[in-house]
Amino acid sequence: MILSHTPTKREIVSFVVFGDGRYDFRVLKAICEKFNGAKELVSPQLQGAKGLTNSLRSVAKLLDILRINVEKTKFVILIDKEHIGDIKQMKKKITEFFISESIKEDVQKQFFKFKILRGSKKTTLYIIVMGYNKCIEENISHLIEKIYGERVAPTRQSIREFLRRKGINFEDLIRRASQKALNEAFGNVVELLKEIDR
Amino acid sequence: MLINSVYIKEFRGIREMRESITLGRLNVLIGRNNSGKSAFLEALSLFPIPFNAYNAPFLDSSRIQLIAQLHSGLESLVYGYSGIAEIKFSINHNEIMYRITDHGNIFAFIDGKRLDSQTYLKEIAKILGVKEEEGWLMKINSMVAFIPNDSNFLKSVREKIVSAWSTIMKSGANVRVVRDLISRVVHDEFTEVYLGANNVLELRKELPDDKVFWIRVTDIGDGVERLLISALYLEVLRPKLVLWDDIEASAHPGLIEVLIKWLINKNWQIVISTHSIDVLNLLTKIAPADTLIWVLRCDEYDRLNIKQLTIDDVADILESNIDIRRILDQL
Repeated sequence: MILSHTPTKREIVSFVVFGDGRYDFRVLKAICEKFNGAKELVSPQLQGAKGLTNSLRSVAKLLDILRINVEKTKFVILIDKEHIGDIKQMKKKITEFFISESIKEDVQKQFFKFKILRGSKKTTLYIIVMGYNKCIEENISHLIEKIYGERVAPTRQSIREFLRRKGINFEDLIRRASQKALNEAFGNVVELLKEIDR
Repeated sequence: MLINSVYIKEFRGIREMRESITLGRLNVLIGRNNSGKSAFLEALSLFPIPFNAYNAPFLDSSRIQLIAQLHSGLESLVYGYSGIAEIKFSINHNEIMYRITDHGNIFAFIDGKRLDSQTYLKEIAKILGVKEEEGWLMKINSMVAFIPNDSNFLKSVREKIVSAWSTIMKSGANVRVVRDLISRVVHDEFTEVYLGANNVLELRKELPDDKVFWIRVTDIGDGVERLLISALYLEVLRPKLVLWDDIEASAHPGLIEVLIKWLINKNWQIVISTHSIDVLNLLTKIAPADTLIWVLRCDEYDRLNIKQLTIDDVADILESNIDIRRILDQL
């Protein structure tokens, strides 16, 4: 699978909105590359959305302006847990932009799937929450432990230092991860990509 | 406004436009590479004197030769390198049409009637409100200024500026352009541009300790040089319509801001093409009246689809944190 900023094909499978920024883009892009197939995910953001409300606003605007068949297109928000609050709050925010129906809620995996309606446009929205308590660095730290058996503090600086010491970058780390390790550290992302790939 | 609407068929990479478009005062063309932006500007640039026998203002080649030089020769003006291209303009309720053959021959029509070049020029002068008195052809010819993103073009214009330096000095353009544009985009204290020894254009730079240096224009960086030459070109021509391809080429966002504001303050109809988010961001902030954003998209049959957006549409999209350039084909 491919994650890009600009569509390379006329048919787009999914649009991804990141609640934070470049860091999350790089992680998802690397995980996408572990999946075969040429399906394309596109992230047309100017910068990270900074929060759930802004992410939902981006999805809403995309729905308003796209002339493609959005029913076949999936929308994804990848966002850190610290921006979400509880599930009730998350659902309330969704209703500020869409009429929604929950299709799948896996609280353990932090994987949420909704049918949403805005005007006459109907589509599927996934909210993928990163971090067990706070942010995606916790997932990366978990993955490092699975691959190297080493505990690294879930901060950007500690992870950078660890990767530098190993002479690798994020992409290399994810490339080196087994399917099992990825499933454990990024279970919700793996499930999302499997659904999109179907 | 000079040109009200335009329709293009079989010109360069455009097989045909789905429909004609009605231009505003400030028109911004956006689209992916090879979406037809340059071809659209080049089609407009043939107006009002497209014939091979007449050079474009300030240049040693005709408008059609200029386009041919930018590409692979005269046949590249026609879609598929053979046949006849057609460009229609609506001006003051008159329909002007050019038919261009793959050999570069041009036939002009006004309101459906084919005219020889001399009759056409007289008729177009009437339509444009220009009296047939001394310099009337030059007056008509100067009405449209086209600035392609091409270093050879800039070089030619620079040479012409040198040869017409007395006119430029007399008009005060050499001071105005530096004061209103250049000194606002660089930290140096430039006061004017001057023709120095060996016909080299130089900028006069004042230092805080009252020392004065003359800096060669070719030594000040591509972006500023491009801005200076283009602005002098426009100041000399004082056109009614400015066509500027890839306006952000070699330009820092600060330079773009100054340039766009300068252009908007002139009483010109403007059509620019851009890939720059800075240009779009700036326009949404300034929100000049009668501004239209045109999203160009060529379909798989090379038909040009053009979607019109307003400044408010673009502002809404940018404020929703979406990079409009990424999804042009899906709009």
